[in-house]
Amino acid sequence: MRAAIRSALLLALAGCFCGGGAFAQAPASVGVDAVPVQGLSFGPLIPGVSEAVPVTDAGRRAEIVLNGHGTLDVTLVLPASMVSPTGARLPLLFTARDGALMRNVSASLLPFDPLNTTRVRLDASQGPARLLLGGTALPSREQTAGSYTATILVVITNPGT
Amino acid sequence: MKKLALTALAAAALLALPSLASAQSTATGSIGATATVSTVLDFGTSPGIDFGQVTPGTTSASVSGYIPFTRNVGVSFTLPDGATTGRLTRAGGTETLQPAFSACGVGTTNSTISSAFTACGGSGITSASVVGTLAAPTAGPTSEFVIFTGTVAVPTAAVPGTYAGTIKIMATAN
Repeated sequence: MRAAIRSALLLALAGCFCGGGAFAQAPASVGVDAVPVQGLSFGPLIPGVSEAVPVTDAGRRAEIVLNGHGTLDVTLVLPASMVSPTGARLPLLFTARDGALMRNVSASLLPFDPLNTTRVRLDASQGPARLLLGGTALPSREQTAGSYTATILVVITNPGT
Repeated sequence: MKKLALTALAAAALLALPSLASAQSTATGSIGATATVSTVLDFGTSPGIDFGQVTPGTTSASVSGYIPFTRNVGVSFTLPDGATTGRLTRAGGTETLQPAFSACGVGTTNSTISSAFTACGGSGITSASVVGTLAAPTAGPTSEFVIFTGTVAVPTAAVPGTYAGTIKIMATAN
């Protein structure tokens, strides 16, 4: 009976250390590092002429490297517009086809709907994955000249066990 | 007593474990999106200014000419030829005639100046002199006209022929 109790205690403590360790790592507790390596760049725009950046455009699409292991829920908080320093707005459009997941550089792109939370399984043994995002800028004919910026928020959640 | 303490600790640890293992955790990051809306500042084609046939010893009638331009930014205008703006030179020769411009500036039509330049050339104007500025339009690209109105005086001794020249206007985006 005493031996049984000790075994249970050891198992419990071991479980606590594992869980406690992961819990203490806050952002890393999801088991992944999300590293933005390239922003979404529309480049020069002409007023009144929309500009699409396909997700296949390696030079202009956004790229986030996901390093890690496990199952993750990835949500993108997409801005409705970009803003100039003077407050002028330039509308953006994202569709379900504007996202993709690239397991490695030689693999084909996997669909990733940026409009909805998508569950992604990472396998550290396969190396990092890349989350890719394109989009469309819709400058109006009256669009004020100048630079415009926006921030795309990436939220990665460990759905738990 | 020792056995009881161990049992309690084990139970507490086992109860605590599920809440840690099932806790959701979140990480966030951000990516930038950027674009630059290009400056539009283009001159179109000018029909020119024709002073017509002028008899030596007289001055031509006052005539106007314009050049259209489109912009979506504020603009500063200079006349790089300064005092010799619009000087006419005889074809095949070196003789010149200097027009006198009585009015110049920008209009929303090709005939009426709504924003006059401070000078249309003449003495005191250098290539760096800003003769007019326009604020950026608030409703996108706008089409306007630079208009010059003037005369040319032909001296009695002027060599007959066709005289031609160019009014150079430089527009710089602010």
